[in-house]
Parts: sequence; structure tokens; C-alpha cells
Amino acid sequence: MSDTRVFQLLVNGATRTVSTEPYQTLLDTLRDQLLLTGAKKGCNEGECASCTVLVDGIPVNSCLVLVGDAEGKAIVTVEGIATGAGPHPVQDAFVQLGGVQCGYCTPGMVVSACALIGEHPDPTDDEIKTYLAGNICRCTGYNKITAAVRTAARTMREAGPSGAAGRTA
Amino acid sequence: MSFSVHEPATLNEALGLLAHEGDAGAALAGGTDLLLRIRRGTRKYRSVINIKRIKGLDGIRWDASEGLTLGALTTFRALETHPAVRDHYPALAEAAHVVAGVQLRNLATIGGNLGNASPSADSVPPLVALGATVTIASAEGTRSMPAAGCLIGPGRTVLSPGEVFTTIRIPSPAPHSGNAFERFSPRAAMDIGIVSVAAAVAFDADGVCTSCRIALGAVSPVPLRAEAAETALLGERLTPALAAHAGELAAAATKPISDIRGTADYRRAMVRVLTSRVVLHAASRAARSER
Repeated sequence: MSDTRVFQLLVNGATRTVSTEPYQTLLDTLRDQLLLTGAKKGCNEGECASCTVLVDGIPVNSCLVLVGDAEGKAIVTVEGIATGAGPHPVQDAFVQLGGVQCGYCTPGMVVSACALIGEHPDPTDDEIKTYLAGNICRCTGYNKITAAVRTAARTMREAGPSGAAGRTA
Repeated sequence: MSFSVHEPATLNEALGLLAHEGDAGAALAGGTDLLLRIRRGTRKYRSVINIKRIKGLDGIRWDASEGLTLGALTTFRALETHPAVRDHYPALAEAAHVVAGVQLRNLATIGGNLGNASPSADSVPPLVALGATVTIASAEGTRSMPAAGCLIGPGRTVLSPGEVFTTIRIPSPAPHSGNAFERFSPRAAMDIGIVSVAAAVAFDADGVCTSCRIALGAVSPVPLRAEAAETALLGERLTPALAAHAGELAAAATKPISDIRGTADYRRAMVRVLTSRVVLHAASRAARSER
């Protein structure tokens, strides 16, 4: 029953092989097997979204995904958001505009914001708030987070497709 | 939390596994309820049969004469963003939109929402109001029934061990018809409804109501049809006063509980307000529909 199985995961562009029990979640596998601790284990119940990762470009709570369901799909964690030498424009905007307080929700916010900007390159404040409604910030720093996402979206629009760095798919 | 995981590639394979495992097995769709139940220890399963790799159990098909066909694995995100769902079944799109947050809506499925059988399940009132039919499969064959009959109590469905929901069909909307949904909850997201109401209404060319279905969520053990309110609207021209009367009749038909989210009296008051509002909203959509 607790037999381990070998899983091949495509994480942040690299194929990783892990041996784990099939009942483990993607989140625990990322954190405990691959030591990618950017995705946070906040509530472990799908209520806080601090564990958000992209699966084939779609943001999901990785605490509610079994590791086997991630096989054959492209996983992006916050560690894979920046692809160049510097931070991703979303990360940069969070730093510049104070969208980070304690920082615990930040990886989930950043990953979700990247997905949002992919879907809505010019998001309204309402679209930002709706899209990030599942991401809980216990510091309640929502205004600066919304401002950071708005700024990041503008930076990315102005930079054009080549400036929209990041591995969001 | 330990269980074995099966990943059948076909529905037949899944149904065989479910039949074999019986009570000890559970079908896994989005996992947003099932994995929590297992993690909290409220349910133990020897094996989980992951049905997400099965082709043909997802997807939204729209046809003007046949209506809408939803695979049980259709996510709430797919529902809320699908143009045909938004155009023809806004009640369903609106219900999908209020479920949790985007990350959850990318996982949670409509089949799972039915299977979880929460009295406050957001998708159920619209399915009932829209006259949805649900197909259930097992190793023995398939059967179909109205969505309203699928839930028999809190956390209880008509599914026997070995059965799964596979398809949901919603008829094509009638001419001059409209539908709407509203949920009342303190928070706009990541919350559970205190009350929800869905309505589907149709009128003849003179504006007389020819068909009406009103379904209420979170105010009885299973989602409830407000039959007295429906009867009051049939054969009448809808006015705000009549909608308000329907709201009173709907409130009188409920059997809400008092809990941390609201008292029974409060829920009844909210049913009254929401029913009136949702019926008028559905009627305004019917007035705009050109079919």
C-alpha cells in the first residue's frame, strides 16, 4: 500500500525523476523530494493558495493535486518564473512597490499574477482582485499587491512579447 | 493518509475497478473535496480510482437543438469562461464563478460537486432550475435521472458503490426564456453560500409566464424546488410585486438550519430577497433573448 513509484516530472523546464508514494501531493513532492520550497504549505486544504503552481500554464493549488496527475505536464513553480539573469517583471514590481510583507503568500501571489497577466495582459483592478481572490495575504497587504500586478502588467506590455519573460506555459 | 492509486485509461477499466473496490474505493475527479476528507480522516479508502485520465469525461459541447452536454470532469473554470454557457446558461456560469477561487476552479469539477452532495453546492440549484439530466455509469450499464434526484441528503447521493456520474445534459433554452443565479455569502470569494437561488423562466409572445423553475440551495438537506413560487408565476405577467410574492412563497417552503453562517430566520429572509431578485433578473434576460 505504501509502495513507492517512480514519477517523471517536468519542473521549470527540466525533467526530474522522483520516487515517492502515489498518494503524495505535488506540493509535498516539490518541497520534500525536489527541495523546491518556494511553493508554501500554508493551509494544505486549498484555502490559501500559497502553494499555487502552474500546471500546463494553469494555476492550481498543488496541495490538492496528486503527484501522478502532474506527470506529462509542464510544472512551473516560483523558482521557474524568472528565466533570465534578473527577476521576472512581476517579482520586480512586488519588490519595488512593497507587495511583500511577511512574504509567505508571495510565491503563490507571483505565480498566480503571472497566469493572470497571461490571460489578461491589461487587467482591471477588478480582474486582478477576482483572479487573486483565492490567494490569502494574512498581512492584508492587498492594495500594494494589486498595484504591483498592475505595474508588472504595464511593464510587460511595454516591453512587448520578448519582454514578457517567464516560463508560464 | 495512505491509499493505493489507480489510473484507469478508459471508463470501462474505471468501472471495473470501482465495482471491485466497492465501499473501499472512491472515484477521484478534481480532488478538492475527496482529498480533504481523506486527509482529515473523515473517510478512509483502500484505493482511489483517479478518473481524470479518461478521455471523453471532460469537455463542454453546445448544440442549438440538443443543448449543452457537460462531461462530469468539466471544471468550474471551464464553465465560467465558456461562451455558450455564458450566453445560454448564465445561471450556471454565475454559479461556477462564485466557487472558491481561480486555483480551485481550475481543479474542482461539476461531477465532483454533485458527488460531494453538500446542501450548499453552488452548481446544483442552476442544474435543477435548468432541468439538467445526469447520466450515471457502472459496470452494469448506465442510467439517467434529473439532477434534482441525484442528492438524497447532506453528503449522500443516489450513487451506489461502483457508480459514477459521467455526463450532464441541459436542454436547449426555450424561446423568450432566461435564467439567473445569485448566492449570498459574506465574502465574495473562498466562501460557502448562506443561501443560493437559481431560476429559469420562459414567456409566450404576450409576456405570460409559460414555464418556471426555481431552485434553492443551502436551505434544506438537499437543494429544493420552490414549487409554490413557481405556480404563482405560471400563467401570469411578471411584475415586481408578483416577484416579491414569489419570494415570500419560496421562503415559506424552506427548511433551513441555524449554524455559524446564519440562523434559520436569516436564511428565510435571504431566500425571500434573492428569489425575487433572481426571478426578475431571469425575466429581464428573457426579454432580451431573441430566440
